[in-house]
Amino acid sequence: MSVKAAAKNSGEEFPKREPAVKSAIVISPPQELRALPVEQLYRKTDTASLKFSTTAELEPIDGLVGQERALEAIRFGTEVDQAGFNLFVIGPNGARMQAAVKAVLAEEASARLRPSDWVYVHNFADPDKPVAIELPAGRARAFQTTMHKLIDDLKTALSAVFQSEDYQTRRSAIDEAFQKKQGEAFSALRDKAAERDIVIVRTPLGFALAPAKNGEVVPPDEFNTWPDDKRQEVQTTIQALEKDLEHIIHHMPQWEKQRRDEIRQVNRDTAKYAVNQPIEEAENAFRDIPRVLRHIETMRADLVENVAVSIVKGEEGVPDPAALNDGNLFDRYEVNLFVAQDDGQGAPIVEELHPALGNLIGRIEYVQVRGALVTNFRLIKAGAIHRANGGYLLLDARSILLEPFSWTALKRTLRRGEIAIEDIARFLGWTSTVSLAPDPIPLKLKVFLFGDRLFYFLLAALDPEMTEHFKVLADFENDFARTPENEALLARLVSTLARRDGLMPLERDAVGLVLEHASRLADHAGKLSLIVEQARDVLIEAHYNARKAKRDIILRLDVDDALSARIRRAARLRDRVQEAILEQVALIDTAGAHVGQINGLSVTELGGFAFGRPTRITCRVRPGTGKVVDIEREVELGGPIHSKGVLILAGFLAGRYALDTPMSLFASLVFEQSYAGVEGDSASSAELYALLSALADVPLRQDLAVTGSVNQHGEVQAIGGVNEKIEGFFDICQARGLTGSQGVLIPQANVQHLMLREDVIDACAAGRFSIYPVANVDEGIMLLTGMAAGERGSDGAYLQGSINSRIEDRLRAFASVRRSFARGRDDDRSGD
Amino acid sequence: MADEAHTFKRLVVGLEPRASDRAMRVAVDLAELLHLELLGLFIEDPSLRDLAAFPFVREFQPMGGGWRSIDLDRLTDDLDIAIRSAERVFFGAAKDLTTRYQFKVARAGAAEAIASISRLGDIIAITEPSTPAMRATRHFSWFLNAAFHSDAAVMLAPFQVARVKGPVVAIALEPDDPSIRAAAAIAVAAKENLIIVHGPEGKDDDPQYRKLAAETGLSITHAFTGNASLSDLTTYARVLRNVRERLVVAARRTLEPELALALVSSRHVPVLVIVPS
Repeated sequence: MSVKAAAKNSGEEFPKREPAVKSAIVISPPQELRALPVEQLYRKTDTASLKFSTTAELEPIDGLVGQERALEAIRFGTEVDQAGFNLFVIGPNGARMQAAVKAVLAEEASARLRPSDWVYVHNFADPDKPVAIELPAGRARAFQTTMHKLIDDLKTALSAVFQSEDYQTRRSAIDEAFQKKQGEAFSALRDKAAERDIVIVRTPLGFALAPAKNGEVVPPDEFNTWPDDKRQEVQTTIQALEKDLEHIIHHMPQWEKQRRDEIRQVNRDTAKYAVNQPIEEAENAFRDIPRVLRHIETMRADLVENVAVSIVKGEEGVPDPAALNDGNLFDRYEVNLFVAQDDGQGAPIVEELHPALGNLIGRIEYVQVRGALVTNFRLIKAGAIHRANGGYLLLDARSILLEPFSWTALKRTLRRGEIAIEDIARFLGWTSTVSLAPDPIPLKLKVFLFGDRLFYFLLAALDPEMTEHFKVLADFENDFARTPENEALLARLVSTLARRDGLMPLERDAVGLVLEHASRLADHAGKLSLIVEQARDVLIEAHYNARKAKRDIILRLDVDDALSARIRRAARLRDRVQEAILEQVALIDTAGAHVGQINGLSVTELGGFAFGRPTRITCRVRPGTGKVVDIEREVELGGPIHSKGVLILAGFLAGRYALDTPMSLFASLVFEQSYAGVEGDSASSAELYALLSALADVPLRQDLAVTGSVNQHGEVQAIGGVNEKIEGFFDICQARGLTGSQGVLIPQANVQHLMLREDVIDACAAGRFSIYPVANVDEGIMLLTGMAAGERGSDGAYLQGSINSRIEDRLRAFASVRRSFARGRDDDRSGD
Repeated sequence: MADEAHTFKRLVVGLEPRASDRAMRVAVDLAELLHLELLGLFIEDPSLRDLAAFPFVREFQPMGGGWRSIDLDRLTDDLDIAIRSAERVFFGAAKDLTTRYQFKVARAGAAEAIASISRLGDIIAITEPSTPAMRATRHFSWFLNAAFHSDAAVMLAPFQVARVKGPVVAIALEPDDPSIRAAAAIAVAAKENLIIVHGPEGKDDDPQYRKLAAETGLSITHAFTGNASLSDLTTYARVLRNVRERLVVAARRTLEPELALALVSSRHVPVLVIVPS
């Protein structure tokens, strides 16, 4: 059987060699590869540097802690008045950016003048365009009250004056004169007719003149017996009287017009008399605001011209249809108190949590009247921008982007420099009823938009207008350096949070643990997380524990229990994963050694809880075209970064071993029992060890797990979630029984990030578990195989028997096989 | 008790082609208040049809119609339309009435029609003409005279009624003036106050007033004309200056037809002129 045929039939790697080490490997790493000392696994708080017994002794701290960069941006943004210098505040969730910014703004706002009040009033010239009037801060409510009282007074005064005897007398005199004029004309006609034996007869639709005798119409038969000349005379008389009747009838519209004019003039005079004094009194309070005086004067003219007439009509029992449409006749004189800066001092700070279009830029409401939707200036409602105008408006970027039209409307408002209320329902054709176009109000506003960094970067990339309107970026830090000063600062913040939420004070050790937890949250022993919300959650839970234990102070124990309980509540999935490993459903070895097999480590984060888990990575090799196949990628379960990591392995192999021969390798790498996507390159060093093991045919220790990415030069690089990864493997080993040889290889660069769980530290301290920092692949391979990787000698060859030497030999053998295959193919062709 | 104080049985509403809904409503309300039977009476002047026999007699229609000759067929149609219109207005106003009501057309002279229909215990309601032109016609004076010459009480209603709520005013020459009991009966039914206007000789301390108040539970106010005569229209303007009454009641001997009509025109409320029993 030819080599080629054997390889095909067996389907195994070729050439097959005996493993260099088959069973136990004697671990004797050099001094520099020793496990990390316990001190480097966790950085305890130096409680001696915290100068207090309990947080009750600490001064509260408001505003921004550890956010100098953001603070500088906020101060700059708030002090620049030019358009466009609004702020986009970004940072991690839970950093309480809004609260921090509010605290900073509160100082700024109190030093500024209260902005103007605004009211909307009826536009007497064009009712569809309500008029906006600006008043000094705090005066709008007085204006509204004054006008309301004025209206009440006018109602009484007008009603009284139009019911007065004087008015009734004048009015009756006009009516009577009119009636008299008509009556006299008709009476004269009637009398004139009667003298000539003619009567005026009423027909169903008008009048007729007929010959009469004793006041009754002469029967036709009798009339026909009259002499001809008498009948002719009657006829002539009637014709003359018809002309008189016609003359009177034709004069009636003129008389009626004259009557109306006279009544209108009386109404005007009467209304003027009634309104003058109350209006003068109302004006006296606003002599310093010409715009208000102008409005009141317009109102006076309208009252005299229109309302008085309507009142009179009502008195007569004839309702005015137009007045019905407008509701109460006097409603149009009311004042819509739009924005009133009554409370507090300084500029307003408004946070709009629901920035729907109407809530943001105001809206026009409608009421249903006899089945139709109608509106008027009193139904114009202010939005958050109106309320914040002259001050600061705080908006959540996600919320405003989720609301239809709001983001665009905000930008449009900032661009226009004035607030125009847009009736979106009308634009979209949802309503076809008459709407309003209220006067726009000048804008003088500083907008703060809060959001994730991702939102900012996406908007910056996709919406060019964003940077035009939000020129100032305030980027909140996730963490800050863990110096004694900063620890003291954070302790004060902890104290402030506890007080703000009405929690018990914390003892010093408890604060120490909170600070250590802040380091763990920062994923860095040398930093403290500034995500205040997470710390607050722990404090509340610790307070609960202390209260349950009937204490009046929070101890370290309470904080510790809180942290454990939080993990316990969230760890159901982690426990199920570990259970599957322990029950051999998910295959993970924690003892022994295998060729081409290694324990990689991954992190799963769900619902804010992250946990690490070991994953078996295997590798098989055979002669090929120099390709390292990532099976995850082939089946589209691997993300691009993961694929990149695998491709780097080929680069490493080529650079280290294929210096004089082409790479004739086919290697396949797989995450065993991985059924979901794999992303990230933190397993690339583990994959490389598996590949090297398969090539060298040297088994790898299964009591070790590996994390870290690798570059083409074989340097092991830092990864994220190092603590969770270590703890994930530790949990499995501990469940199976710690042997003392178990441990985890981590990148050297990740040592500074270690803030491990107490049980892991205890095991390491007792020599039952180890954390190995690794700087490069050679160090890792030595730990995993117990054999030196080997270096090239002066002859350019690796030390015989070293891992590298075995790999290079194997690759040469693959190349030889490929060449023999190539020759065989050429021979076959020439034979043909 | 107060219901028994009046002797009215029926309200006869004189209807015309352009009847006022609101004036009709006043009549219906009074019928309901006093539990009166209601009769809508349209009197068709028979001499109207004779006009067609005069070739030179023409009809003038004020609303732009101008002069036109009188054609009997068209006149008949116009009359039918007028009757149907008056009938519709009448039934529209009376539809919620809890007492009996009917509509009749009388083709006779007003005097004959009233004489044949009216009886003691009737109130004949006549609405003031809407225009002086109407007032000048034979029709109105004819109807007014017929009513005032009948045995029935006459209620003159304004074309436009100022108000339908307010006290009831009785104009009394003496404490046992029939207008007082009639006005009291209406005031009790309408849950209104009673105001008694006394002439020059009138006094408010008569025991009959206290008795009436005790019997009916009415709040009775007295107003005095002083030396002014009750037959002078200006007297009422002065005495009733601050009163917003819904109805004025007087005896026929107190208010002559012309004065009653003038009072209706000036107060814009109905005036009920009753006949002593």
